[in-house]
Amino acid sequence: MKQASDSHVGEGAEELAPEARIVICDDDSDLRHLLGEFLVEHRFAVVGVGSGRELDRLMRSGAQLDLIILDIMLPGQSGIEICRNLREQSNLPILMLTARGDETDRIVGLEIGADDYVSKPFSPNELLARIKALLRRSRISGGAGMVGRKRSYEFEGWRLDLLRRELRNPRGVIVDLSAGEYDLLVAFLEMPQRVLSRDQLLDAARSTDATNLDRSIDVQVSRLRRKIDTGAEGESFIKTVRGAGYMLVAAVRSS
Amino acid sequence: MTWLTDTIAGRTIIVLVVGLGSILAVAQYLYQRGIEREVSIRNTEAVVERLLVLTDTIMAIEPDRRDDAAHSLSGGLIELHWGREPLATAGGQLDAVAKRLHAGLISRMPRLGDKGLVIGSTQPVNEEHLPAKSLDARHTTLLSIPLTDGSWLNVTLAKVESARAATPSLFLSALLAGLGVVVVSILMSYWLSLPLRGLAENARRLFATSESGPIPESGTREVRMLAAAINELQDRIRKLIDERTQMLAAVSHDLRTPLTRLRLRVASMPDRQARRKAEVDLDEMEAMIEAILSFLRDDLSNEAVEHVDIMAILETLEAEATDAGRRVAIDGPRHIVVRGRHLALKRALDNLVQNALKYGDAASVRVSQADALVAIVIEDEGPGLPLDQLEQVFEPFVRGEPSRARATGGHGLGLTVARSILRSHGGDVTLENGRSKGLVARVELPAPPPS
Repeated sequence: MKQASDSHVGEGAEELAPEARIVICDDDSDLRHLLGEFLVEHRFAVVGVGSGRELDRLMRSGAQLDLIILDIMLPGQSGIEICRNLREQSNLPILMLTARGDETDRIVGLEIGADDYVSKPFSPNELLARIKALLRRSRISGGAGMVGRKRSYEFEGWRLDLLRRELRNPRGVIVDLSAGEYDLLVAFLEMPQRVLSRDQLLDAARSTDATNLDRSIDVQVSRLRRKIDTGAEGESFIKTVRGAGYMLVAAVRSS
Repeated sequence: MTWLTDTIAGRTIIVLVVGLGSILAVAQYLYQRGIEREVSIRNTEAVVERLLVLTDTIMAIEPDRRDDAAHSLSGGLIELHWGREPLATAGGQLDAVAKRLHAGLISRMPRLGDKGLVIGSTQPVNEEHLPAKSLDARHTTLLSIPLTDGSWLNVTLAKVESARAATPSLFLSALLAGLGVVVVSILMSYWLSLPLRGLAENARRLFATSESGPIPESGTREVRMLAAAINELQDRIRKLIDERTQMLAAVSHDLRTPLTRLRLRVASMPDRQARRKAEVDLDEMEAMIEAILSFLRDDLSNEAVEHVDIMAILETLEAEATDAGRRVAIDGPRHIVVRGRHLALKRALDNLVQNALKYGDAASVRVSQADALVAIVIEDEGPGLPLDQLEQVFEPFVRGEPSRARATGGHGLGLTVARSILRSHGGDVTLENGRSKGLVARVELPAPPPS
C-alpha cells in the first residue's frame, strides 16, 4: 500500500517542541512539500495528504493534530464535503484554501464550519499569520475548537457578518472596512468591556496584513472609531484607557 | 407624422386608406355617372310628356288669351310664352339632353317633324322674353313648338341638372367611410402587430434581466420563426460564453497553483533583497492576472445591491494609500449612501484612485451630493492626457502614453472596469484635464431617494 501522507515532523524541529501539528490537504504534491517546508521552518510539525480519503485515514489513526489546511478544489471528494464530514467528528480548526474571486465557495465553506480562509495564490506570510491567529483563538477558547463558528456579532444596532466580512450600521448601510480595521473590530467584539493592550491589538491586526506592522495601532483605532461612529459628537464605542489600551464599551451579541 | 411610416399600424392605415379611398373614388365616379344618365333620361321623358299636355292645353285656348295662359302655366323648370313667331333658332351644338328631348317630342307627336320643331340656343332671343333672373342662360334650352294654327309655343327649359344635388351628402358618407377605415385599420394593425410587439417585449425583458431561458415561441408563424431564430442565436452566444467561462476557470486554477508554489519558493530564498524584489514582481503579476480574469469573468456583477456608504469606501482607500506611503486627500460630507454593489463600487473607486496615484503622485477626492446625483471628483497632480486620449483610455488594454505606462506598470483595464461598474450602477465616469495641471476623473452616481 502506498504511503500517501508525507510527514515533515522532526525535520529541523527536533530539539524544540513544535508549535502545533498541522495537516495540509491539497492534491498538488509540490505545493504540499513547499508549504510543509515553509511551515516547518516556522516550527510547526506538518503532515501532508492528497485527498479526503487519506485525510480520513489519518484522522482515524488517532494522530494528535491542531489544525487542518484544506484545499477546496480537490479531485474526488470536494473540500466542502470533507469539511462537512470533519465538522461532524471534531472541532479541529480548519483553514480553507479557496480560489480568489470565488465568493460562493468561501461563504459555503465558512457556513459549514471552516474557521477561516486564504485565497490562492496567497503570500506565505499571510498564511502564517492566519494559522497563528487561528491557533491562538483556538487556545483562548479552551482548545475545544468552536473557533470560527460564530457567524456574526451585533452591537448597538450594528452588525458584523463574519462570513462575508461585512459591517452594517443600524440603518442597514454597508460600511466598508480595511482588512486591519476588520481584524481590530473582531478583536474588540471577541472581548467587549475589557481593556485590550496595544500589543494585544497589534497581534490581532497583524493576522491579515504583514506590511502594516509599522503603522501605529492608535492610527488604526482612530480610523475604526471614525467608521463606527455613534452619531453623537465626541462619543465613541471604543474608549481610550490611559496607559493601558482600548476598550469596546458596547453590549455585544454573537450568533 | 413619422408614426405613420414608422409603425406597422401606421403603414397598415396608409395601405387601407389609400387603397380603399381610390376604390371608393372610382366607384363613386362610375355610380354618379350612371345615376346622372338614368335621371336625365327619366327627366326628359317627363318633360316631353308635360310639353305635350301643355301644347294641347294652349291649343284649346282662344288665341288672345293664350299668352296669359302660357304665363300662368309656367312654373318650375318650364317657362312658357305664346307667340306668332318661333323664338328659338335652329343650329348650334345641341347637348345630349336637347337631342333626346327633340327625338322624344317628334316620336310622340310625329306632325312636329314636318312643321319644324325648333330647338336651340337662346342667343338670338329677345332678352325681354327670357326669365333671365331665375335661370342661367347658359343652362337653358329653348324650344319653339309649332301649333296647328301656325302660332308658336316658345318653351324655356332650365337644363335638367339631375343628381348633382346629392353630392354633398355623398362626400360626407365617403368621409365617414374613410374615418371608419382608419379606426378599423388601427384596431386591425394593433391586432396584427400584437405578436410582434410581444416578441420584442419578451426579448427585451430577457436581455435586460439577463435571465437565461428561451423566448416563448408563440404568435403568428412569422413571429414564431423570428423567436426561434433569436433563441438559436441566444443559444449560440450562451455556448460561447460558457466555453469561455470554463476555459477561464481552468486557466485561473492552473495559474493559481504554480503561483502559490512560486511564492513559497521565493519565501525560502536566503537573499533578503532578492526575495523582496521577487515578491514585488509576484505581486504585480498576480494583480495583473487577477484583474484580467476578473474582467473576463465579470464576477462582481452577481453581488447583491445594497445601501453602501461611499465615504467609508473612500476612507478605506485613503487609509490603504497612506499606509503604502502615498497621499490621498478626501473632502466631503461624513456619509454618502448610494444603492449599489459594495465590492464592485470599491473596485471602481479603487481603480480610479490608483490610476491617479500611478500617473499623478497624489490624489485629491472631492465628494458632493446635489439632488439625485452623487458627484465624486478625483484629481491628480500628473501631466494629464492629450485630448484625443481622454476617451480612448477607457477601452480595454489601452493605456495612456505607452512609454510611461510601461515604466509604471498597469494592465490597461482599471479604467475599463471602473466605467463598466459605474455604468451598471446607472452612473458614469469621464476624464478631463485639470485647469492648470493634472487629470480629473469625474464620477457620477444616482443617489437613492430619501427614505
